[in-house]
Amino acid sequence: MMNKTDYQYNFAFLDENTKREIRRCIIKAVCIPGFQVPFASRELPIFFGWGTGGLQITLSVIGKETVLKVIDQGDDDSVNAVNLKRLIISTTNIKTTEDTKEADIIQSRHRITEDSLTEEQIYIFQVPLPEPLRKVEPKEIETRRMHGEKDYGKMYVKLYEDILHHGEITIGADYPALVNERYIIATSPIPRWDVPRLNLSENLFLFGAGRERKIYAVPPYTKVEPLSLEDYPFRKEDFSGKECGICGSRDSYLNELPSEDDNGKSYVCSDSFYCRTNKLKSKDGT
Amino acid sequence: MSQPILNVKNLKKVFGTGCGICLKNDYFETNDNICSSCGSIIGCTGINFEVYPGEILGIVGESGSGKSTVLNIINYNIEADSGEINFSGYKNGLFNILNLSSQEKRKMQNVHYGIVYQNPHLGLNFNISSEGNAAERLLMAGSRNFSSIQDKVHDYFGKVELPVNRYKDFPKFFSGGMQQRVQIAKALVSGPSLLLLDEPTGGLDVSVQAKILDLIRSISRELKVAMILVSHDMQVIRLLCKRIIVMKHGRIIEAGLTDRVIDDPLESYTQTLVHSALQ
Repeated sequence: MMNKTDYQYNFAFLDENTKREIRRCIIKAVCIPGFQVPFASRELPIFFGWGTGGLQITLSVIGKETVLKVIDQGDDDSVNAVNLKRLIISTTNIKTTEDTKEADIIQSRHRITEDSLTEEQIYIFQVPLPEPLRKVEPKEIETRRMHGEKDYGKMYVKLYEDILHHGEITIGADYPALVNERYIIATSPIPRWDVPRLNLSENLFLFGAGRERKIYAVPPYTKVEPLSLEDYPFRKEDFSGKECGICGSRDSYLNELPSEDDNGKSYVCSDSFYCRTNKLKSKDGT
Repeated sequence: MSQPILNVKNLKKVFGTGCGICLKNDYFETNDNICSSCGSIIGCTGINFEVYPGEILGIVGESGSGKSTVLNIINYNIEADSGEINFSGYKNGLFNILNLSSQEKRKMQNVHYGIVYQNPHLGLNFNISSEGNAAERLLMAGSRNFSSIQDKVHDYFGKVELPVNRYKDFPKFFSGGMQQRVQIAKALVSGPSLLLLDEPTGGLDVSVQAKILDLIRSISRELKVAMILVSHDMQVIRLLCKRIIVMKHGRIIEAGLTDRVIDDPLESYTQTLVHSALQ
């Protein structure tokens, strides 16, 4: 284990010029909500695909007083979150937390915390595939043109085809959404449950894709509408009649687990911190 | 006579670098449309014609004579070097619609024009359902209501006599004739005022060809859509068009009423063309 005080790297691993370049890209991304800003993604001691985009944003905006929270699918103790946290701590020596309210920066893989966020917080996503149009158009030059001209008809054809063949829109996670009535974004791959949280949020959302070298943003109080057709509106996952097996929550995003109960399924909160505090609360109540 | 729906003036397109003498050569002497000095190909030059509401205008000529180039310029698939097109559906025909922004061009393609290609691969996406293909035009044009789009698409699929149980099938599983029906329905679904037909019956067997021609004729009669029909088949042209244009080496060499041009061709090339047709 490396001694935290005598690391040989620059503060937050990346050199200052790199961090400045990324911060400039972030500013551009905030100015043009939903627009994918290309950036010079650097090599890191973790592989592309393991959160390098989100990590580079975090390392660029982090300060010595920052309190950091890292989650992986809502879980603070999952392997990806733990390893990213260790890398950040060993190169910055900053304080980390599991408390959503206490954190200044939250880096997340594929979830938004259940607890509400504030204007003071920055929420950073690790994005594997930043191009929402890739599913309907393989050529990069063409998707750029489509974004440039707001030519999103093909995306709606996909929704139409879904409804035609399956009677509903079948996109699960990574549900495309229109930001500020202009650009369609890939919503990290957060579940549909979390997509409405992007709309008119109090905090800043930043999205980083390391392999694809793109940064985009949803600034505070920005309109984010999930794509839908008028008579087939956007729907969240339906957990009605189900509750968390640990804390009993009925209004959080639940993970399905196999169990030996009669129906063979049990549910727990995806957000581990929320689940723990919720359980303590209900204990205090009783 | 009413106002023309489409007015094409002095359209020119040269494929290649082009040079000063490209357009001065006598291509009828060398019998090709390749410039002897720079090697550029004359796609079309000096093209002038009008299309009137509800009529079917035929363009005939041999392969490489520039028929499809003209059609593709109108549909914005190819950019013209120079020329002017006025379309009565766009700001009363006061503007040259070749100079529109790309968004406006796409709107012209999706709303005001419909195009049917000889090769269905160009007009249809084979990886989505036939219904999705036709719906695409309405979605591109901004419709966002599933049921109303579906009603409209089914309406036009009925008009082109596509079997009801095949609406959801992919066009790749269709016969050539049925693919053309889907293309025609797709072209018509947004209610265009001009239909561009690029050899719509080329490659079909004669009985299917007859049915498609019948369909085109009934569409013209019922919907009163103006059409430009490109073909090298004089019989097809004679059946559908009142007025035709004969092209060779990228130029219009003869134009007039179909019966006049076919029965009494003035140009020697037109005579060859008319007499080459199998009787």
